[in-house]
Formats: sequence, C-alpha cells, structure tokens
Amino acid sequence: MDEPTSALDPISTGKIEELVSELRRDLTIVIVTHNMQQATRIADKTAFFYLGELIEYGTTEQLFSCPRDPRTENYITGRFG
Amino acid sequence: MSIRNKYEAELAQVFDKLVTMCRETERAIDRSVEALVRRNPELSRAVIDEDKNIDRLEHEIEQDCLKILLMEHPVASDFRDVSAALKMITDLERIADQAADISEIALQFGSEQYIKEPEHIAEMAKLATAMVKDSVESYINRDVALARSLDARDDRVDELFETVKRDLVALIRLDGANADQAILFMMIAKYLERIGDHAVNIGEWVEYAATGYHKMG
Repeated sequence: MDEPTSALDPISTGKIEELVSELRRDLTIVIVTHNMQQATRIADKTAFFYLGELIEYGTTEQLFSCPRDPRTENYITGRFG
Repeated sequence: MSIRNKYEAELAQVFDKLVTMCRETERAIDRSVEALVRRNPELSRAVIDEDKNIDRLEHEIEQDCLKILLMEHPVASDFRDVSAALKMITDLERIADQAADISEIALQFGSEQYIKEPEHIAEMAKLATAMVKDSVESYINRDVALARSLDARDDRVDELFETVKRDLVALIRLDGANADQAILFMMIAKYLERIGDHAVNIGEWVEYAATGYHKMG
C-alpha cells in the first residue's frame, strides 16, 4: 500500500488502519508512509529508505526508540527531511 | 523559528531546569550535613524551608516533559532524553527530601553533646554528594563511563553505613542512655545510604538516554 491514508481525514484513516489490522492476520502488508505516528501505531517492523537506499530495518519499537543509523535518527526526529 | 528549533529550545529549557534542580539538590545535602556537624540549627531550618523550591522545580520539569510528550511525540534520542529527565527528577526530589529529613533530625539533637563525632556520616555525605554531582555531570556530558562508575562507588557508601551501624550498636551496648541519639544517627546514615542509591538510579537513566539500554535495578 503506497500512502494509503495520505489525503484522508482521521475517521477514514482509522477505518483503513483497522482494515490493515484485520488483513495482517492472514497477509504480510507493506505500507509506504511518511507519517511516523502511523508507522509506530500499526507496523510490527519498519524499514527506513533514503534516496532509494535501505538504511535500516528492525522492529518498530527498536527503530523508533533506539535507531542504529544516525540518518534514521535524524529523519525520524525531524532533523532533516 | 523552525519546528525543530522550537522543539530543541523546549528541550534546552528542560535541560537547564534539570541542571538547576541538581545543583540545588547537591547544595541541600551539603548543607544538611554541615548543619549537623557544625551544630547550626538555622542552617537546618533553611534546608527544610528551601526544599519547597526543589519540589517546585520538579513540578515544572514534569509539566514541561509531559507537554513535550503530548505536543511533539518525540522519538529516538529525543524520547529517551525526555523519559530519562522524567525519571531523574523523581530521584532528585527524593534526595532533596532526604536532605530535609536529615535537617529535621539534626534539630532533634538539641544542644546535647554528641555521643560520638559524626565523622563517618560526614564522609558518607561527602561521597554521596560527589555521586549526585557526577550523576548530573554524566547527564550533561553524556558520559556513560562516569554514569556506570556510580554503582561501584555506592559500595563504599554502603560499607560506611555498616561501619556507622556497628559503632552505634557498640555505643548502645556500652550505655543504654546512648540509644536515643544512636537511633537519630542511624536514621541519618540510612538517608545518606539511600541518597547513594538514588545517584546510581540517575546514572542508570543517563545510560538509557545515551544508549537505549536500561539496567534492571
């Protein structure tokens, strides 16, 4: 899913996220998002890509609490983007 | 001012207040024991009175951190800095309370001659104050090695506590009339021993803020 909620209001976004939660029981779902809060809310694992390169991949908790790569840290904390 | 700069200014404000709270807390321990050793009841009363300033700082920092969590949703090192600050202020506030408790006990001695000069208690206070100071320095400078050293240094405070306890038990055995003062000295030594433990806790949160790893109690 590429930015599945990018232009949606919070209620519609919630419905899409609920749908993702239902589908995840049977399917692996990849979502592209620039919404960091959405990633922390619904993803088990998160990957950070920068300029087409995979910079870091890990559990969502690890990536958002203690990222290994400074470029990940700088992006998710808003130091660049 | 960019969003990121505004956020960094808010974090810097928390940081400055935290450093002030640390300095006030160090001063409270120093002065509580100085008042005991030099028998200065005015100084004891001042430490008790000034404890409210440290409580106020704790409240302000807590509110600032909660506002940052609510408004900024920090992640990564930003999140670790804010959560470490929230945990550290609890330890600092307890340390300051213990300094005020020491001052209240110091007042209870009145003008009676001490059954024993509190030289080991003074040494405990010196070590515990240095630990609190270094725990704060380790936070300011992100010095994980200094933060980790606090655990081993706390062992010396614990040893001194055992020495004080043994000395006081011996004095009670020598003369039951020593028991009243012995209990007061024992409580002071226990507060100082706990202050060492709180400094170790602060060091553990500094390590978490710097590395993401938090040592279990």
